[in-house]
Amino acid sequence: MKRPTSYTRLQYLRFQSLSFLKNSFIWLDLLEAMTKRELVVRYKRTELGFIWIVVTPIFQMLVIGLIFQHLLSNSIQNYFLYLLSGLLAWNYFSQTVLKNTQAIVNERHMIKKSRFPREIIVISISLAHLVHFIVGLTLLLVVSIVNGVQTNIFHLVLGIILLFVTTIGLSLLTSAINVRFRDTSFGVSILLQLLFYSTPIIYSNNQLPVNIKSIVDANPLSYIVSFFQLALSGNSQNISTFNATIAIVVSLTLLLLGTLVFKMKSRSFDDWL
Amino acid sequence: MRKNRASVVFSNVTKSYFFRHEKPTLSDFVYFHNRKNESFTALSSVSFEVKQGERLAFIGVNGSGKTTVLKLMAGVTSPTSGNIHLSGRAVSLIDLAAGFHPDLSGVDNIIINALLIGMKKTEVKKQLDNIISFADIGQFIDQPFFTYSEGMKLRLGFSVGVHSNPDIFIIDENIAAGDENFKKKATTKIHELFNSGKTIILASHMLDFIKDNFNRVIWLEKGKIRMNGGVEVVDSFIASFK
Repeated sequence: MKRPTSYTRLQYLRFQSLSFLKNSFIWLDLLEAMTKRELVVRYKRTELGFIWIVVTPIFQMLVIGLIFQHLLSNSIQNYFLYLLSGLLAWNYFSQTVLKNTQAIVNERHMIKKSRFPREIIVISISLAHLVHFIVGLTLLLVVSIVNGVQTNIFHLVLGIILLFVTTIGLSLLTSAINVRFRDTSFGVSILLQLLFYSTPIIYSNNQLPVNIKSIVDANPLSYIVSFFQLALSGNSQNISTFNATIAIVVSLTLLLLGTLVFKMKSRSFDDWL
Repeated sequence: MRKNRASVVFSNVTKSYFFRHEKPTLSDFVYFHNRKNESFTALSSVSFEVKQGERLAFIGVNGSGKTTVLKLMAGVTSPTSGNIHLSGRAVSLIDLAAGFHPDLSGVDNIIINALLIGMKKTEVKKQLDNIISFADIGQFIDQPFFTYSEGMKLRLGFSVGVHSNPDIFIIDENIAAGDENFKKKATTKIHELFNSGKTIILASHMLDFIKDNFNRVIWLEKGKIRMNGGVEVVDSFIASFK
């Protein structure tokens, strides 16, 4: 088997990066249509249709408000709002990553159809889920304001951006690897469970003993989720600038790594589908 | 006027696939990494050039690499080594029923499919009525795709493809799909395309059709070019069986 020379590889990458911006404009129409498709298809054969976007988070609020906050009653102020803001952010992250990991395999009929930037599949799913997430956040924001919490839109927007970047970065990575190694999706669901319990969502890191707290703080999601908790419930996690910096660096590294791996692997997706 | 510009250039294109009896798992990869690296070379060091407006057919027995050439040209997969240059947009009419979503209506699917093969939203809007009337599937156009018969799926796919106005058309012999009525319509449309000055690439076993309609023929054998020329290549190919 003749190996590719590094020259052709490099030339290909250069060609990709130069035309990347120009190409992405051409494909914006497809991204928009795919995002709409993702939103529409979910409720296509339901009677309530888009009402589900609102019903689902309201129901979650009711369950947590009526039962969970009493079960896990503790010292956190506005625990109901604290719990919900963290859960909303977590649900967005975990559902998007989980769906995206399988996305390239699920959409193989599209991959085989034509050449289009394969990233569009992952980005459109992330955007469609973002719409649901923002609807949920808006509802919660109203509840927070009614409850007299000093809400903070700036922190909310910052949180959304950081979470979106992290979600896309990880999704690009896992979806690309899953094409060749289908084990990835199993690994991802275990990783997500681990991450859930090591992120201060049902608890606050202020309640933890020092040695466990340092583990939880090393999780970049702790920092990202804390933006939502601070913005919507007024509770702030005890997070150092050092850990905050790490979280931002990890998010951006994940995005860069995900993009690079995806770009390289997407050339040969068709060979493994 | 642009007759002599190259439309497709393949230079030393090689495509190898890994042999896989099963999809590899991560543990196979980690533990048996160096054990076997079986690969299959579908194309080895293939070079050719197609000028704008030429109609090129690939012939050869099954497994000679015809489909791989078309896939590479359509950009669905990338070469293991070598370079491919296309000037303009290529649309493949190979997997006609692919890229449709079962839960969406015909119209919604047309839009996604057209964008998928590189049309702009404005173009799609302009062509939508033509695409619908050419597909001719009646009220089903508003029904979800999963209710379609196989023939309807192919007709919809064909209609989107031929209305996408690419510079390079990539087709195979299953293009004339559907019943006699649609076949006639499809054949007329294909001849229209043949006379439109677009570059046409075909992989087929329909040797008479190729002799009548094509001016370039490449004979592939075991992933290599056996002969590259005009329609006389078809005669040599036929002679090789005698």
